[in-house]
Amino acid sequence: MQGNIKKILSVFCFVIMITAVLAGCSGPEQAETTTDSQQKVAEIKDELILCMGTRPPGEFDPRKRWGLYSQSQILHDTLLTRNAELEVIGDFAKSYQVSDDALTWTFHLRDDYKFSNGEPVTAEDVKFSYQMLKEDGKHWDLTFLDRIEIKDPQTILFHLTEPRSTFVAQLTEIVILPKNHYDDNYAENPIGSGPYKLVQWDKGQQAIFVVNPYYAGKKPHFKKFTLLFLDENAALAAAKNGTVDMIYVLPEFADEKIPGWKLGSYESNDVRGISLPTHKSGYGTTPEGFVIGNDVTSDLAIRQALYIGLDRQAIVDTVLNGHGKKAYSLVDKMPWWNEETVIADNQVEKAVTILAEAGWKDRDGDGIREKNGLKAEFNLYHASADVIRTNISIVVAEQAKKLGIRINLIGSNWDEIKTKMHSNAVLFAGGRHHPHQYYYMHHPDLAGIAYCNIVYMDNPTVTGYLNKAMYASTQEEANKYWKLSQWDGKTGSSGLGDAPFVWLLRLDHLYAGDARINVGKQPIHTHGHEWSLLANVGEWTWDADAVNK
Amino acid sequence: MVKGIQYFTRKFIRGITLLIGLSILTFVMMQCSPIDPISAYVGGDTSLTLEQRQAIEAYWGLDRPPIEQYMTWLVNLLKGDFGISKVHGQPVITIIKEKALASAALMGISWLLSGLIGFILGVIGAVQKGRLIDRMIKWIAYVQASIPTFWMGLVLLIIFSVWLRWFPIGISVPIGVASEDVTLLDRIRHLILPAITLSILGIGNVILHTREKMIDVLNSEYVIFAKARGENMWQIIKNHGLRNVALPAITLHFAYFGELFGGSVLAEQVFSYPGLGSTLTDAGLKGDLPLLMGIVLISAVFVFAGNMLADLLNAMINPRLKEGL
Repeated sequence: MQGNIKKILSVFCFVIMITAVLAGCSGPEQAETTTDSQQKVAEIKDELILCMGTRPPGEFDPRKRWGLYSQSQILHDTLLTRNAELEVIGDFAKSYQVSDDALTWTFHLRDDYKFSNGEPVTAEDVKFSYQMLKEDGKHWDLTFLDRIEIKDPQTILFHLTEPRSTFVAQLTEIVILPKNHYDDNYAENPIGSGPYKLVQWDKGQQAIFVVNPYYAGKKPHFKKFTLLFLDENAALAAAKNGTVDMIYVLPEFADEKIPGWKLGSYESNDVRGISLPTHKSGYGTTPEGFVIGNDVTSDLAIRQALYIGLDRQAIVDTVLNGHGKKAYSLVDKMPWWNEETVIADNQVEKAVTILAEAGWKDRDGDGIREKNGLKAEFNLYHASADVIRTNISIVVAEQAKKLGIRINLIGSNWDEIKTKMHSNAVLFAGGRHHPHQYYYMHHPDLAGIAYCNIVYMDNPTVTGYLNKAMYASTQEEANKYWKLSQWDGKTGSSGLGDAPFVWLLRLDHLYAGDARINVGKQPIHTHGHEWSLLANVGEWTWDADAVNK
Repeated sequence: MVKGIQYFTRKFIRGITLLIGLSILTFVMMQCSPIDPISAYVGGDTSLTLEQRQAIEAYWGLDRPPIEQYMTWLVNLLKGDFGISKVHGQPVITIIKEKALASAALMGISWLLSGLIGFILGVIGAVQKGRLIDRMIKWIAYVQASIPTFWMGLVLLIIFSVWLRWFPIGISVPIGVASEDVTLLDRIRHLILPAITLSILGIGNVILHTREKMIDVLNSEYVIFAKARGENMWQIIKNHGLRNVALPAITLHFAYFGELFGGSVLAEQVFSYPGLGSTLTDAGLKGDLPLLMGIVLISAVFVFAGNMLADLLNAMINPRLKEGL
């Protein structure tokens, strides 16, 4: 019945349109104004259809990793959040303090936040969210959280078992859940206090979001947006057929032209690089029994020669069609990044000198240097299922030949790489909006555990800085030590110092969409391409006058 | 009667052993597969601590030896519990129920269409043997047999969705429309392209076999006799042809359930159609063992039932085959 009415209505509209067009033809002056005003009305758009990958990452439930990929702020609020400059600012917590011993974090809560069902957000909800995820223990590392104390309805205290300045990572990612409405089926009807609420989720097909009427912040411009879960090829077809307003694109599709659309390219710290074991073979085994150490990569000269000798821009141009940036550290462009780590690369001559001075010389004329009978040769493992990593490995091996270093490529999978990564080079990735990943990839206490510090980096000066940064009670103080740990003028974790990793490039995250969609100010994106752009969807607007140039 | 019971018992036992064998094979293959389900689930996130990893392993039961894992799964299955999908965190049976309906509509329509069209074209080809129309039909059959389904799907998608914009690009419901406002017409519109793609898959076989058989029939003595009695072509086909010719078509078409399912995996992938096929692909790639095993079993039952139905229908249509039961 409803369908019939719709059909009749659409026929009716069609007739009116035809009449309008015909009327326009008979009177030229009138026609001008009619079409003009019609266009104006049509141009202010407040609904969007987007394609950002085949499934919602984390499926709306933090117990399934929702929030880990900067998507917290779509449906929910968090205690703290980061602005586009990546500064930590308040969200549900107006302000916060950390005690001098860095063990107690006090948050002063707001009282005007409401869930999408109209119920107020309370300190109890905060306590419940953190406690539940700590007990679950699967996707959020909250082992350092001792207990949570509600002092009064507007004040909540987190007591930690050890100082942890990187706790802000969880504070900006863990969403506040409604204590009374959270159960195993939460993902079906996720109630949150963010700018949007989920009204329908057809699994494997689409999710429909509308504005949360109780949202305490600025009302979003787009009243509704629909996410279509299509793969990259289908998404491109949908874009060409005019079904969608914006899609996420892989570098190989970046040059497809669609009328009225533009390509949005956003910087990220989604880095790729090579890990190089820092100890000689015979160093021992990891807790899981995997061999540690490599005789060639443990030579500092080899690592430093690669750091300055490789041509990063050439890798970006060949592998990513130019859609990327050179990378020098795991934390490029972050507030805790030491900018001194940027160096001139592609310095083949200087790299060759470093190698020669360290005793690496090609004596038998086969193009590969040797030292005390040891060839400058090592294996580089890469996940062969990942095209970008595979291609980077190929280019790196080619470039290393110029330095007289032979890199043997071994395409593999993570199950095998896990057993070899402490004694061989690996094409590694990283990138977060917090320095915790940087911490565990360089701290000796965590060496060999899971993917932490696979290179067995152990530099007492660096470790000292890492500890100071972790124990800092303000982010400013912490950032000061994070920076020193990368390079303090004498030593550090970066390529200027020990060079345990040779970071090569950062991917640009690409999205193609209607030129009139204004996605606001985007922070530097992190690892995880698809949904990165959506993090601030509540701030998007429609620029009717913007045109594709 | 006794024979019938014996027949069914035998078939039943064969079916059960087939399912057990298949589940063991799937399980072993997944154990040998290089996919680490936890890495696949967390998207290669390297920040997972050892404790977190162990918690997930324990939750999924991956910390137990493989044989124990399999036995737990089997025992639960006998109790009617297919387990919980790792990726979706939902009972496998719920997911299968949800997707099976969409797949059933797609496969059912395609199956009927390809059977009917193939059969009719086959009969026409035989009757017009050697003429232009026959050569065209033969050509269609050969071309179809050599075209992969997904390629056909992509071509249809580009022509009818991207260029002509007659049909939607994918998925089974209109975009951004609340489910209570979705009409049957909408659903049909979204079903047309995938169904056409999938039905093209089976046509070639049916055409060629039907055509061959019909040519045999038309050359048989009883048809010559019928012609001598003055029956016209339509009467001959109706009275002597269809029942004889239907045999290979039906056997083939029921036995083709397996290919149909395989084809639906590809068609669903191309059209982002949320059925069992695309769920199966996803489960395989993410190492979601319970879901994969569930779908494999259900599809095995489906294919097995198809083959059995083919045998039974054959017997009903052709009394000579009853002896073989």
